[in-house]
Amino acid sequence: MINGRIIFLLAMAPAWMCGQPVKLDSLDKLSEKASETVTVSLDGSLLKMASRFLSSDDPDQAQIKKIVAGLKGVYVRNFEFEKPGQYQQSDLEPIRNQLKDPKWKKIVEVRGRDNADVRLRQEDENTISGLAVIVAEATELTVVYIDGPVDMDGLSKLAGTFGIPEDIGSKVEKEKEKDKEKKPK
Amino acid sequence: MTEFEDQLRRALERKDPSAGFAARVMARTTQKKRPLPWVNWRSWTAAGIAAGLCLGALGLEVEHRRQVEQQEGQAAKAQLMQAMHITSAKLHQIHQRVRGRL
Repeated sequence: MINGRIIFLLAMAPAWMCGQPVKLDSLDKLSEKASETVTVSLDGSLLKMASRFLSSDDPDQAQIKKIVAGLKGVYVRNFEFEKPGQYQQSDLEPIRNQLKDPKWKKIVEVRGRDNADVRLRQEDENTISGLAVIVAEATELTVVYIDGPVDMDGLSKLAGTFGIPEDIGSKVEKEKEKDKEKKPK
Repeated sequence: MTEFEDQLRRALERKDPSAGFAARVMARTTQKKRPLPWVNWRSWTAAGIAAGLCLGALGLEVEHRRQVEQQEGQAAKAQLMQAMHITSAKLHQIHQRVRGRL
């Protein structure tokens, strides 16, 4: 019996080490209150399929094809509301709780009239295995979760065409340096 | 000699074939053989039609699957493009907010 449990734990270890995927299902109830809802759930197989239909001649599509190549999933929830107060911060708690894992590094946090968080999941110093973006505005709520090795350089190359900040990669580097400084010698 | 022996001798005695026997035998040997049922042209035609229908159905199924895959792929591509658009737009928005505060 004990041996069986040990074998099970050993078998599951790689999955746990790679990090649990973030589940966005808890947000789906908001679609009833939202005036517009965008739900994107693309797992690995659907990403591969979508990738096959991306044109290599179009620079944007070719870039996306490159970014998507190693990803395990792309999940987006976007809700637009008629008026403020249609959703609560507590609605985001299940998502934020999943991002409390120490592997999730806070890259950007904006607090004020609108709240925004950008977090990266790092397996080690050189491996980014996920990106989470939460933007909570008065009448709009957006949650993005990209599962897999996020190519920050690739994302930077989309800047200008897709509006991704060019220096987001350098922010990650700065965060790494901060972490190194914090570590006791 | 008994009557029975006479009858037996008459029954077994050599008799010449009737006139034209050889010609009739030769005529029968050159006659066309009756075709076997499975080599009948109708059977072959029916089998051909059935095979054609099967191939046609298979072709339609392959084409249907290809169309479904095409539709699913285009839908997945549209979703991916939309996801990337939303992600980049929101990251850009955050970037502008952060830059505005600096």
